[in-house]
Amino acid sequence: MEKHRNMPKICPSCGNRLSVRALHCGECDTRVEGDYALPSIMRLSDDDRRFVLDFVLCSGSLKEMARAMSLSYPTVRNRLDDIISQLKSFESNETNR
Amino acid sequence: MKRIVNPFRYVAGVESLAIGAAGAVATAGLSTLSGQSFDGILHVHFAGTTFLEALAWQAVMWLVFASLLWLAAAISSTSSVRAIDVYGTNLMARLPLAVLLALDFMPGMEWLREVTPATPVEEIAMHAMSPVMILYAVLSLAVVVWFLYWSYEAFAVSANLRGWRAVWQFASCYVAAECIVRFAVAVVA
Repeated sequence: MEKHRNMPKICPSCGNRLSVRALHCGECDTRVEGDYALPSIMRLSDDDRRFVLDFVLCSGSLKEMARAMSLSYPTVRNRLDDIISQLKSFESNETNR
Repeated sequence: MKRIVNPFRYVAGVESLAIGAAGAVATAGLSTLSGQSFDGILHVHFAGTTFLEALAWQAVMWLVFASLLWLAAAISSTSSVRAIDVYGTNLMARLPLAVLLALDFMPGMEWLREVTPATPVEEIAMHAMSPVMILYAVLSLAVVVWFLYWSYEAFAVSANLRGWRAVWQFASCYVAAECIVRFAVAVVA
């Protein structure tokens, strides 16, 4: 069974954000090299990314999310607001680069 | 345990409003039975009140405090704050006040329920240093802290505000609500 591995996003040596250097096709062994920035959503923590995925699977209903997570509506909304704020900050940092 | 420390992470909206309403009824009932009533958000004094009077004052105190908090949240929060969450969680945060009045029914506290506004201070002072009274004072203080902590957490969760800004806003709303309620009590009395 293949072990689930988390993609590292932060350099273990200097602590800066990592970017994608190479992409590989497992089918035909084609390799593409370049310097690609990680999409904003990929820069979220694993928990936050899971939350976004669950939110989409709940058709974007915070009430449904709150029920599924056994949390109150404002707790779930606050978490979403925090994620939105992180994504906005990623986007604005990207624009300023 | 997490549900006791901060229940508002798990309960808000209509559910918290219903729990809070049940708590307000219990508080009004205990107020009538103990002969003590609230004449401020956190100020209790000896006065015989009917159940409906006590319930009406509970409603006034809740509405004044919650309305100020909702106003603060609407002005300063960047989240879309729902009024039902602010009002509901604030009413639920008043549950410790029922516990505060229930302390009057501790063994050894029977004398407190006999006290009226006409009771001489000397008579009350006679009981002041008894071990039961000291325990009562310590427990009362703990319940007051519990009420303030829950009220703050209710505000912080429902308004999505944190840190010193939230603490400052909460404290300002509390002081303003206390002043308004005491003024209202003085006018009605």
